[in-house]
Formats: sequence, C-alpha cells, structure tokens
Amino acid sequence: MVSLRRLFLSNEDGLLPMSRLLFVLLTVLSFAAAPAVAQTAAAPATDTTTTQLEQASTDLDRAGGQLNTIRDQVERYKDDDAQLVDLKVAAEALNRSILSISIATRPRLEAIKARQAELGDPPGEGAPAEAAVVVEERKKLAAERNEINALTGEAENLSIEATKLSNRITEMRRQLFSEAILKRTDVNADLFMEASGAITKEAQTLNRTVTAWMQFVWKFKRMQLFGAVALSLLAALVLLSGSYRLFAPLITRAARHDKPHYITRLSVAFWSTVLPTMAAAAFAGASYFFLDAFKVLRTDIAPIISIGLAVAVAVYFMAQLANAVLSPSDGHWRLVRVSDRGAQLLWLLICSMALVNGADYFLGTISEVLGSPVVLTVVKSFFASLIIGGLLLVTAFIKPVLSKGEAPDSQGRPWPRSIFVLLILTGLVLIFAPLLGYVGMARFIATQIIVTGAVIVTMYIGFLSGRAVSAPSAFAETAVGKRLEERFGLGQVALDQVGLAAGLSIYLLIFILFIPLILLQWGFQVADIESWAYRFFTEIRIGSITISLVGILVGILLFVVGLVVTRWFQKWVDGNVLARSQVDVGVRNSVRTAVSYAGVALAGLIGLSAAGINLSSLAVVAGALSLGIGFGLQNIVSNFVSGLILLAERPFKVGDWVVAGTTEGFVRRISVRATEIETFQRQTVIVPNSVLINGQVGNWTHRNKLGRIEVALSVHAGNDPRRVQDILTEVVRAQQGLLRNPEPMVVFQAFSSTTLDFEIRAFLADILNGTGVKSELRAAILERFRAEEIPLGGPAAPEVPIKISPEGAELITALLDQATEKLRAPAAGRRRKTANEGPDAEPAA
Amino acid sequence: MIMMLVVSAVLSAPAVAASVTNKDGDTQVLVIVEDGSRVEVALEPGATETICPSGCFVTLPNGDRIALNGGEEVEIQGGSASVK
Repeated sequence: MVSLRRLFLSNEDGLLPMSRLLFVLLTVLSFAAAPAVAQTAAAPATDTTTTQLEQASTDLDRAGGQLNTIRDQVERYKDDDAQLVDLKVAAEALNRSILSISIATRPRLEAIKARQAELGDPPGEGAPAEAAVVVEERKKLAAERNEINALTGEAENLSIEATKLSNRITEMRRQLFSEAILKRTDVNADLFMEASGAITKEAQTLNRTVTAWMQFVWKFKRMQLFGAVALSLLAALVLLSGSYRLFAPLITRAARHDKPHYITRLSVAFWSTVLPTMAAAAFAGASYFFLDAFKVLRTDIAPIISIGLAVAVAVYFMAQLANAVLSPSDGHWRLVRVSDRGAQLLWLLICSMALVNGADYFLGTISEVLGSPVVLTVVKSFFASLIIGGLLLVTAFIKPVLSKGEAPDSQGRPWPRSIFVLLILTGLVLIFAPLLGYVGMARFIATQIIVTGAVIVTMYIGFLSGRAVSAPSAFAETAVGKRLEERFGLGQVALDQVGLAAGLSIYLLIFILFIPLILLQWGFQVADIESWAYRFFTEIRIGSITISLVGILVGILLFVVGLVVTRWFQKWVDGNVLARSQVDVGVRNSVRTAVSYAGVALAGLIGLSAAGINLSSLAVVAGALSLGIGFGLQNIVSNFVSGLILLAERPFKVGDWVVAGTTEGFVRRISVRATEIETFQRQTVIVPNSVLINGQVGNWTHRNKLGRIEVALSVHAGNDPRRVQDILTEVVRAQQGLLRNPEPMVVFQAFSSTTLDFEIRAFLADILNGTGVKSELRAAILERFRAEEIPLGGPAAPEVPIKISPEGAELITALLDQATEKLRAPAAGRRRKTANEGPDAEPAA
Repeated sequence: MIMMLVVSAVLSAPAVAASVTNKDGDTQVLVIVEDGSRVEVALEPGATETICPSGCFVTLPNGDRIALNGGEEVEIQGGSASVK
C-alpha cells in the first residue's frame, strides 16, 4: 500500500535505514578484514587456527540463528511492507557475512594443503612405516581439512537459505502490493451500516485518546511541547529566511505591469514551489523529531501526528504548486494559457482533490491506529474516491483555455477534446471502481493522479527552467547573472558557461529530488531506493564486468588531484631547485616536461587503479594496441619516442633559432609529439618530432649565440681598392656590437669594369642581433664613403673612347665649321635688331 | 554518506567476477552455489571461465569446498585449487 506518510516524513524512519546500512557496512568490513587477521594468525601455531575454526563455527551458528530470527520476523510482519524491506536488507547482509566467514577459513585450507603436499603421499604397501609424529600430523591435517569442508558446506546451505528467504520476501512484497490494489470489497448496505456504527465508536475513541493525551501534555509536558514547537519553528525560519535571502528574486513575484520574462516566470514557479515546501517539510520533520525526542508523543498519538504533518506538507505542496503554475490572482505570472476565471477554478479543484486525498490517508491512519474495523477505512476511501472522481468530472467541464495572445481576463474556451476525454474517463474510473468494490485501486489511482502528477509537473517546470537558464545568453538576463556580472565582472562567455552549469545542476537536482519521490509513490520503500542508489553508485554489472560509479569518480578525483600536485611539484622544482642551481634553460625545460609527463602518467595509473580497473587488464589492451601501433599508430609512436629523445638529447631548446628543412624560426614549445616553431613572420609551424630527429636541423644558437654576419657591397671601379679596404676595416672595427676576436674581415671579392665588390665578415656575440647590426654597419659605411668622396657608381653616361684617323678628323672639323657658319648667319641678322647686346652672347666655337 | 560511499567503493572497487582456469589434462566439474542455486560447471582442459560476480561457494573436484568473494583468480591443478 502506498504510504504518504513514508513519502513526506522519511526523516522519522529514514534514520533507521541509515544506521542499519552503516551497521551492515561495518559488519562486512569487519569480515573483510578477517582474512588478513587469519592469515597472520594461521602461520605460527595450530592452536590459534583451531580457535579460528571454532570461531568460524560459532559465527556460522550465530548466522544460522539470525537467519531463523529473520525468518520468524518475515512471518510475523508478512503484511508490513516497510518491515519486509528491512528484513530483506538484513537477509542480504547476512548472506554476505556468511560468505565472509567461509572466506576467512580459506587461508587455513591452503596452509593444510601445502603441508600435506610437503608430507607427500603416505608410504605404500611394503614401504617402511613413517614416524608416529608424521602419521599423527597426517591424521590431524586430514581431520582439519574435513572440518573446514564441512563448515564451508554448512555455510553454503545457510547462504542458499538466506538467498531463498530474500527472494521470498521480494515475492511477498509483490503479492502484498497487488493484493492491496486488486482487493475487492462487496459494496452493499451492510457495509455502510457497519461503517456508520464503527464511525461513531471511532469518533468517541479518538476524542477520548486525544483529550487524554492533551491533558497529559498540558499537565506534565507543557514546556517540552512549547520547546519542540519553538525549536522546529526556528529551524523552518532559518531555512526559509536563508533560502529567501539566497534566492529572493527567484521566489517572490514583484508586482509589475508588464509580463515578466518566461525564464523569470518559470524559475519563480519552480523555486516558489520547492523552497517553501522544503521549509514546510523541515518544519514538520523537526516538529516530529523534537516532539518525539522530548517524549511528548505517545505510541497511539505519534502515528496520527506524523500522518497529519505529512498530509499537511503534501497538501501545502500541491497548493503551492497550483499557485505557482496557475497564478490565480495575477495573470502576468501564469505559466499556462488559461483565463483568470479558469485559473481560479482549477486552483480550487486541484486543492480540493489534494485535500480530499490527504484527508483519506489521514483518516485511514486514524482508523488503523485506533484499531477500528477495516470497513471504516474502506468506506472512507470509497467516499474519497467518489469525491475526487466527481471533482475530475467537474474539471472536465470548465472552460479555461485561451488561445495565444488573448487577454487573461477574457472568456475561456473548453478543453481540447483529448484532455476532456481523459478527464472524463479518469473521473468515471474513480467513480465506478469503488462502486464495483475496487476501493484500493481507486485510492491508488487517485493518489497517483494527484501526487505523482504534482511531482511530474514540478519536475517538468524545473526542466523547463533548467533549459531556459542554459539557453545562450539567457543566464546573463537573470538577476543572479546580473549580480555575478557586477560582482566579479564576468564576461558574456563566462556568464554563458555559468548558465550552462546552472542549467545542468538544476537537472541533476531534479533527478535527485524527484525520482525518489515518484518511486516512493509507486510503492517502493526508502530502503529499496537506498540499496539501488548504493548499487548504482558502487557496482553496475555488465556481464562479468563490474563498474563502480563512485570508484570511477574517485579515480577521476585522484587523477585531478594528481595533476594539481604534479603542477605544483613541477613549479616548485622549476622555481626553487632548478632556477636556484643555475641550470641551463634547456635542461630546465626538459626536466619540467619530464616531471609533468611522469606526474600525469602516475596520476593516470593511480586514477585507473582507484577506478577499479585492473592494471593487468591494461596489459592485454597494450598487447592488442601493439598490433595497431605496427600499422596505424606508427607515426604517433615514432613522434612520441622522438619527443623523448629530444627531451633527453636537447639538440635545441625553447627560444633557439633553428632551421629545419624549409622552416626557419624560433622554437616556442617542445612537446612530446611535435615541436612548435614560430617563423619570423609569426607563423607557428608544428613540426613532428620525428622530422626533427630524422632530418637535418640547423641551430643558430645551439651552444652559444656567436654567429657571423656578411655584408656585401660594391663601389665604383675607379676607386683605389686598398683605400676602400682600409676605410672599411676602420669602419668595421669602430662598429658597436661586433666582436674583435674572431677578427672581422674585409674581403675584396671581385672586380669588374664598373664595380669593385667587397664583403665584410664579422662575428657577433648574439646572432639574434644580426639584422640590426648589419643595418647599422651599412649606414656607417655609407656615411664614411660620402665623407671620403668615394663614388659608389660611375657617371650617369659612360665615357666612350673613339678612335679616328687624322683625315677623318679634318673632314669632321670642316663639316662642323660649315654647319657653324650656317647657324651663325641668321643669328647675326637677329642681332642687328638688338645691337646693344654684349659679346658674351657669342656662341662658343 | 558520501564519505561512506567513497570508502566502501574504494574497498569494493576491485570486486569483479572470479575466474577459474583448468590447468589439468581432463575436464573438471565444479559445483557452484550462487544466488541460492547450485550449478555444475564443466571446465575443458585449459579453459578459463568467469564465475560468481558477487561471491559464491565452489565445490572442487577433490571434494574441497571454498568460498570466493569475486575477483579471485582460481587455478585448478590436480583437482585442487589455488586461489590468487
């Protein structure tokens, strides 16, 4: 039977399973530790081993006793689902402990076998007889071996019985559930007659009990009562005010004229349902706990108080949820498109259904506690189902639906056909099932509709708000996002990431909060869910492989911790040891890289083994991989190994100027697979390490940065080469940044009819400055040449020597004279007009 | 709670199924009691079988009975078992 009480007041018995789980764990642990103790004890003396066997035997006897107790209890509580769950857990724990007891005897068995092997086979027919001591020992060993086998056989049988019992409990629980739902009661006049008789009696008993209790409390436990209420109020207030402080913009509806954003509405709906409900649940739980702790409750009153509180919390949750979704008073905050009138009606109907269902459970528990006849409970549920069915029918006929864009205060339209039919059908089922006698089923369905429906709706809203929060740039719009932006100056991208994380954690929260609630609704017990969760986190079995989620998480955690420690260690080694000891930069880099890879590998190994992955099974994987390496991974592995060689050999270090094939530039990073070279154009070239190892690599700055520069220059062929050479030598000697030793050199490389070609070869302390020095040098040379008037090139037109015979020369002179005469005549005519002009205008002959 | 889970997980992490290898020349029959039922498992010479993921009792060909936690590696030699 589904129990609301379990749903909402799990604190009260939630403590029990926890302590029980702990106990089971401790037992298992202690048994798991036993073999180790046994091993150490087994070797020295036989006395201890016999006592150990005795110990095992008594343990087994005790386990048998426990099994019998559990069996008896199963018989006794065969109608109590909650007790059966506990018993099942106990049976399973017992099974484990039986196994542990037998495992503890295994080392002794091994020892006996080893000793027997040492003694060898008994001498055959005709062979000389053994010493009496040996015969004695042989006997003793055989006896002990038999004893151990017998013990293990006993354990085996016990284990089978325990497993069978555990399976039987499961079967019983299944039957209980189906019986509770499918039990049929004849509905006739007698039933109601009987019930009406019982109800007056029950009212009297209740009245008497409650009055007696209240008088007792008032007289003797007044302070405790007030204390309990005050303390639980305090707890709830702390929770409520704390959550309000934290989530204020998410729970309160600010009065606005405009429609709030969809996300705002969603999150307000979700949180304004969840947080106050949690506060209420905390209040209820705390009240019950304190009342119980202060001994205010009596055994007959406690269940009534407990169910009363639980029902109150449940109804409050429902009302709060309906309020959040429908927002009957303020159309702006409504999540669904229904009219004002429709929202009010729906809210009223939902709350009434919740109230009726809650009252059904409350009254049912009262009947149970007061020992009233079962018919009374049946009749109460009968009416409750009828009322809820009727309310559902009424719901089907209201007209709340609005189409998009319609104002909330306008007239609504009827439900869509499918919803209408669904509501009518469910309502009819809830009315006819009890009329036909299936009261349990009707009650189950009604509870499912109300509570599961509410939980699912809450989950759905939560999901929607999670999705809305994680939507791109949605988080920045929320109040929390704005606050974060102000506080920490987070950028758009960071806020988006935070939003995504927030969305995902909302999903997670929903799963953790609500899936157990729904499961509880469906008749599972707290212990069931606990053991599932436990199993889910510790061992998921796929075939013969067991995966432990917690193990994997621990593995990941250890890996991350390992990484952090490595980083820290790397930094420490680099900064405090290597830097202090003035080690070469290349060595520093290599050591740092090696430390980081070793750390990562170590962290990986630790993480893997913590995750429960057997390292020896990795050997198989590695074996399989080696084939792959032969084919596909060849390059990567070769690069990897080359990287290791680079780290060890250090042909170049970070910052070196290298030439590898067509790539020239500075080494920026040496990692295990590839090396990054930045060219002078700032292009990063990633060169696989194998290329650097196999090919030729030039390094300008390998041992030192010493390097030679060459500056070629030409001067006009008319210059004196020795003078030019001297001048150049002077200039080069005076040039800053060039080394005197090795001496700079001026080479007269070539000459032609037009130029003399020189080359200056000089050494630099740091080749990286080469370009600057070259440019400086050229400038200095040019300045000096100009000062010394050394022509760099010839005249604009070349001088052309002409050979001519004397006769030819005369002829040409005559021709020229003639031409001059002709030119002179018109010129003289013109001059007559301007007679005063000076003789300096006389053209040269 | 989390601490407890972590501790138990670290302890129970290597709890994978046990494997049994027959190193004898003949087929050996083991009787395995697991989950409340008795099963006979025949092992060919040289064969390895994975058994009982969550602990079991095994009756060996020579009559010895041993309990396994799951995760052990058992070798059968001369009808007798050595557990690693």
